[in-house]
Amino acid sequence: MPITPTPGIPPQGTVLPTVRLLAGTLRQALIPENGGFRLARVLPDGRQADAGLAAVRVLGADVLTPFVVNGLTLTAQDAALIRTAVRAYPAPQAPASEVSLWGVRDAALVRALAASGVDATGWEGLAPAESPARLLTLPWVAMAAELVRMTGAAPPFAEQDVRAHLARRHLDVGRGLVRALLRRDLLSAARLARWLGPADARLTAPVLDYLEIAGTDDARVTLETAITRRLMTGASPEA
Amino acid sequence: MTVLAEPTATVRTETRALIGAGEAPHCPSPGSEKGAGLLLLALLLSADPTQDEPIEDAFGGVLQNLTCAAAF
Repeated sequence: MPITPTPGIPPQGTVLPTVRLLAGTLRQALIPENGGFRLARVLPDGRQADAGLAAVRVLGADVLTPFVVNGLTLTAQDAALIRTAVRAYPAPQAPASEVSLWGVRDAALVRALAASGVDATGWEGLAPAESPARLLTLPWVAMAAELVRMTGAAPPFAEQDVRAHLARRHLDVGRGLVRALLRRDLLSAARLARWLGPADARLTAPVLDYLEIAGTDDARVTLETAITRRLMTGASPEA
Repeated sequence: MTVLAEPTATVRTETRALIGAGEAPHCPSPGSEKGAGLLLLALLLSADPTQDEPIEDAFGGVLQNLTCAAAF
């Protein structure tokens, strides 16, 4: 039976559990003591292979976090796997808002691949590159909502000018973060904390402490908090 | 790794929905299942968390607060 998407509510199929599985594995891979990490080793095989590739597409540049942050070597096999995922789930042609979102995410993916030594120029399925800079002029509620959707382009994959612009609007990002916490929307809060990062460490630090406890049962939340923690302090997540 | 030739329409739709998903549309109530994890964590912090006191008074009354929040 086809899944009819409801705005704001991801459908519950085979992809979301795989995304959570991969997010949990990526969090573990951020611990340097855990050694090497290979995407090809952790993704499901056989009948679940399409869900695995979909999970790679959903997490976007974040699948490269262990390679970029820990300096691990991205193997040709893993790079080929990411390329297969991009081709299998190409960027949409419409509507414009979705094309823009995928453009921001794919631009971050290309930057992450470049940082890992892979030139993704001309890959089939990538959206035309977009910058989130234009979103940073929106009122704070709308801006925070857009930043939540574009978490794949957040640090460490954000462009320098975007980071500088966000640093100037750190109060507005902080307001969005507090709003997400008040709504008990932990994933949004974790994503906004990642965007905010050290620009307002007085807010980010206690929020990370809280999210690491309250969001412990959602691997996507724990991945976001682990990335932010690592970027802010260099500390690895606890095993 | 075995790669399927063509993802199903269902998986494509779910993938696009997950990528496009933004803020959670609903706020879970205080004391909902998102709070249950905190309760469990609080109980796991100590083998004898109440120190022989009523459970409602443990952790500075936080359990009592959560109970009241769930009730109202």
